[in-house]
Amino acid sequence: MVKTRKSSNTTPKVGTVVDHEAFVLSSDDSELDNFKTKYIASYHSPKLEESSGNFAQNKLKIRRGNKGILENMLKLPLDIVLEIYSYLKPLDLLRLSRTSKDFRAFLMTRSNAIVWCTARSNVPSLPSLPSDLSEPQYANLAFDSYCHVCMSSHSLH
Amino acid sequence: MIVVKTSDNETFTVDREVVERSVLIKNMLDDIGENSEQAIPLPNVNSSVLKKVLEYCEHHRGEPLPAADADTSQEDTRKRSTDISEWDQKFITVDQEMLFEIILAANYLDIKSLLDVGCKTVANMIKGKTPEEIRKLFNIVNDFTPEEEAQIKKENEWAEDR
Repeated sequence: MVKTRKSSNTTPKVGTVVDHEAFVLSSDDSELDNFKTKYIASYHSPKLEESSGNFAQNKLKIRRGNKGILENMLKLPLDIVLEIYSYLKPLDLLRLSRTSKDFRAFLMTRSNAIVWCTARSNVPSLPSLPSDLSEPQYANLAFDSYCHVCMSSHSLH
Repeated sequence: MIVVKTSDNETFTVDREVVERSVLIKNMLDDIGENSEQAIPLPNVNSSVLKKVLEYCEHHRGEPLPAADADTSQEDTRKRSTDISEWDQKFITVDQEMLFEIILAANYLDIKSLLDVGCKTVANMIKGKTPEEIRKLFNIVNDFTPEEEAQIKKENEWAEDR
């Protein structure tokens, strides 16, 4: 009877609502009854539903425009992803590597240095990689614009 | 004329010259010979995507196909330009679902120039964006804590060297 968030079809994006449901469904019976009397009534009250409706609507509004426009790209096969990366420049890779742990794990591995190497070849007349720097270090040194001492994005010195 | 059949069982009758821009289909035709009247099944492509792909092939018919072995050595040396011709740009201005499908179809059908157009389009969308802008574009969840995020800016070594 334990229905988890994964097995139900609601997406976790709905946030708070689903979390409540998951909690209700995974607690044992006595707790469940308590929980029901305590929260479910208010949970289903029209006032709250209205606000959760608004919440969903707001979410929808935010998602318009460019947001998530490339979501499907994350599901592309690796060889195509590499093909896409091959058109980017080192700074783009550096920024990609700072978006999430998955991207970081992929890009900051020495065995994937070729991706960086290709990106470097997209920058005309860039001096070759210094022997004491790794690819990402070089990309950071050569292209990132924040101050490397105080990490501020506005260079004041 | 060649008959191809899509995943949703629609058949398309196309000039051999047009459909042969797909190296997959070209090789198939070379293998089975001229006179086969059987429709070529394309189980990974649906009709709306194939329609679009054939539109591309029709427009570029007669242009030389890239030589299979020549491109690697050439590609290594030249800077990879993300320029897309005006017609291609107009052609690829589609919703993300279709862009994604076209890229997959071009990969499967082995139409190198179309795959390039698709990949360049995505690359151009990523170029010059900040991490936050890229996250929005891909709907990536930022799973770094604020502290980690400040830290990773300083950590540019390979993971193995940390």
